[in-house]
Amino acid sequence: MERNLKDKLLEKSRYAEETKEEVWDRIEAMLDSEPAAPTRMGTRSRTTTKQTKRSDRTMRTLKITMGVAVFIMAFGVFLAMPAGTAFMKDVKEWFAPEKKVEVEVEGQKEETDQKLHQNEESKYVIYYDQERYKLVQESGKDVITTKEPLPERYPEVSMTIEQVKDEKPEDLIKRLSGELSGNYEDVREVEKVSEPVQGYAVRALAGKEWDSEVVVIYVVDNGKQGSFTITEKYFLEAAEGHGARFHQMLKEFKVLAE
Amino acid sequence: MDNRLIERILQGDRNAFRSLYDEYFDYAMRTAKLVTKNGEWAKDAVQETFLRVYRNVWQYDGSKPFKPWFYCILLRECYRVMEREKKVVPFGEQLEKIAVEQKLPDVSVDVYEVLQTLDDLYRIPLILKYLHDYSEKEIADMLDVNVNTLKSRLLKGREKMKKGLGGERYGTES
Repeated sequence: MERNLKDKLLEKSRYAEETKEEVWDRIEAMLDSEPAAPTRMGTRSRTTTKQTKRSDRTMRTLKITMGVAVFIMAFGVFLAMPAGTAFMKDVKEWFAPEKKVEVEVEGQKEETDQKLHQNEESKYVIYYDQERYKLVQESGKDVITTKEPLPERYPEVSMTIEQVKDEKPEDLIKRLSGELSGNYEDVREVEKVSEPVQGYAVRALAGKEWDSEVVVIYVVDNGKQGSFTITEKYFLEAAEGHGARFHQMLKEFKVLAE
Repeated sequence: MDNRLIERILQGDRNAFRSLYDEYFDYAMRTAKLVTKNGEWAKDAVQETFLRVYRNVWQYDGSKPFKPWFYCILLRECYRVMEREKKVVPFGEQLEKIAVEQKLPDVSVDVYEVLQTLDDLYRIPLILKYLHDYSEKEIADMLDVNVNTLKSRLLKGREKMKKGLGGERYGTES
């Protein structure tokens, strides 16, 4: 298999002879359109452009323009720092299809294997505990629920993520809070939260029994005049179990920029 | 990588940059083609990689090997291009594919196709190992993982490949 694989990789990665020069020409064209050489940060050499008959006013305008350009370039370089920096670590984590995350459940710390879910349509990512939960997509929603269905006597345990494109977080949380009031005995005040997500939260309880339903709704800005709702459902006794796990998973929820 | 070459690139020496390009183009192009699974995207990724290397070479730490630094940029550019083209298949789907596409022993099962259905966690180390013959230590450095982790990924990757190819018949050939 290994010999065969090597041969196949060599065969499949073959490219046309002219590709090398074609790509080089493109690179050179890009570099030629840039004014500065790749000197060390802080010791950028000054351009020695000949300025002969320019008036002082033109020179000042030119200096300001160049200053702005250098600032934009420096900012761009900062944003594009490729290696040896914290940024690089972020990027690696970003693409990691799986990672280990420490979770505190009922006072005990444990390590969980988390799997990346990237919703291409709604533009967000989340990591979820793949040992205990599965992620299913239904009617445009992502539902994280227990891998093994719970016995019937237990209320639903799930975390549902949905995008509401045309409703701002402030309006949506009010509406959802109102809907909870009609169905649950104890609906708490809407809170502005910064954890596990940045947004609003409302909590509702169906009672005080061990199996009383608990609903927690978070509303997060989608950055495009709309919102994401994340609805956690579990029961009172599972607050420190499933509730804590959902809370942790939600910390990994990130809305992607376009 | 010769640090004098890097110094010359830092001075804006285009010939030095071309020397680096000559040395790394084949490596970059082949890797990008396998990672992106598309010739045109691979060209874009390689172009952007070299541009980033040129612009950001001042950030390279000359006391460390050049290849891992270069590879990190290359891989990121591959993903950037794939994301731009909206063709990044969610990892979950990739895993589901593996699960449903396991076939019975059959000579028509292509070792390359099976590799390309693997999760990137296993696919990328296998590409680096078998395309470039890198040592496990080198690949671990490139991916910034522990050598034992890398060994385990290679092992699991090979197991998944064997499974995808339909069992021991192919697995015992090596």
